[in-house]
Amino acid sequence: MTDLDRLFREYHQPLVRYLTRRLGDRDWAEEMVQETFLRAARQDSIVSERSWLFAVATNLVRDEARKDARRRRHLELLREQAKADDVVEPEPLTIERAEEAALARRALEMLAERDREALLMREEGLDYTEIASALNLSIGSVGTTLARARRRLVEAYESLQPRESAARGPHAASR
Amino acid sequence: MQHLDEGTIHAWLDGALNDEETTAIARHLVECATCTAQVAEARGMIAGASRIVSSLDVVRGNVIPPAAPVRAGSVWRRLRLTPARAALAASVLLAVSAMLAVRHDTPNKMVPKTVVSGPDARVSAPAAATAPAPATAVPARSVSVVRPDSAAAQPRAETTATAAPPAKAAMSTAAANQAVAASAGTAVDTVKPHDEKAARIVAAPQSFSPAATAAAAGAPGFASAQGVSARPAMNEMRSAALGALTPGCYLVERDSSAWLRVIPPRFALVRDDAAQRNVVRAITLDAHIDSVVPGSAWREIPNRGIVVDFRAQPELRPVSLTLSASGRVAEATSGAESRPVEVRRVGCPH
Repeated sequence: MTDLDRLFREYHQPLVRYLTRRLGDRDWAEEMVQETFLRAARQDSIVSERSWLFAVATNLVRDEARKDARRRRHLELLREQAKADDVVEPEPLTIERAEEAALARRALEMLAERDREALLMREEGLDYTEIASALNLSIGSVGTTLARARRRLVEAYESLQPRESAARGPHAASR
Repeated sequence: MQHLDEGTIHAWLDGALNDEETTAIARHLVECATCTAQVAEARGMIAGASRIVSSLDVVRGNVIPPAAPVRAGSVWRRLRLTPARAALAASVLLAVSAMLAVRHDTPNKMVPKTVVSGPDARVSAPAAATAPAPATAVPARSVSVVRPDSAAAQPRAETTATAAPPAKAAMSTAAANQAVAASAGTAVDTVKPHDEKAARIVAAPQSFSPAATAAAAGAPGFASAQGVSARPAMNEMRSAALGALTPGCYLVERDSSAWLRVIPPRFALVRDDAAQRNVVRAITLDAHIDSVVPGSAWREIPNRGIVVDFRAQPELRPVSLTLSASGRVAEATSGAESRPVEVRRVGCPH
């Protein structure tokens, strides 16, 4: 098994999950992860592979976000085509879970970019050294960043909650 | 040592500090109620944020399997029993049997005291409770061998909750915690802002003798306990009791050990009949049974309890948690390392 195979097996799923959470778009996330591994293949050696992969994936997303929407529209078109071809829906979602996910996404979007990335990396199991390395932070500031990110996420989520409940009417409130 | 800042507390809870720092913080927390309250708040933040992030995973694809609704299997729901009701019923039965024993016992009817241990001991109390016949039953001894965590035997230990700052998010996290416990018919440590005194809250009985509950529910084994041959009936009762014990929900009081982070703070042991396996599901802060904890499983070990295995995550080792039927302290084991962990059994969210 080559190094790239091993890297792919070990980190593909965490990276896809990280970027899907970050972007809210699995297809886009998959594409970014593919690009990340292509870049890894071009490297002679990678010292801290997990933090390197997450850093590259994060930077790719940042770069991507700065570009104009043309490529994204193209991807969305591709995604629609893929959806049309995809007859099997693997995850039947309940309305409640979908609403909860939408709320969580809105709350996450309210965080500063660095806080959001640190939090999502931590949720993927990266330790403080790896997060610091991937985001160019000092190790000492990772705890503060995570504390702030967690607090703001919970507060943002809860600040959105009553409005959502009120908008849905009394049934939602009594749920 | 001055008060801990929020970042340090999170780093400590995330297991990111070295041994020296960890020890210093642990020592400081023993004597600083303010920081202890902040640690509790930070734990809530970590769990809450984690749950919010997890809820993003409902996107199409196999990121995390969707949570299947947990319906059947709850003994309490089938019997319309809550732990509190069961404990009350068991208490009444035991009180009546003890009263009858005091009234009717004479010295020549008393059976010599013997040491009762093991599963037989566990079931003898309710057996006597339902069969207080003075000639064969041994009420006095039976009462004395009710499991220590039985609601009928003694109330739960008092817990002390220290004052916490009234942060909005913390309050709502505490409220969510209460929702979990409230659905279990229990009281939890409530966070009282600006309360000078530590709030002493006597938790309602939540851990109870399954055998006593089975007695209250009229489990078949208890009727046969009146007969001559008690052992088969006792085995039957024990099976019934274990059946009532195993699929349930638990709250874990974790310490700062990094390797225990693999254990979710609230989890439910569930039998997945479709997949023919035992799975562990996380319980959310707002009292919903959530997704299956990846790679986790549980199994019964006869005469020992339940062993719950949690798979390793990237930086965490696999941990086995042994839930003993005899108390609230479980044993967490990872490799050669093991330590006691406080685990509270609660009713499952409906």
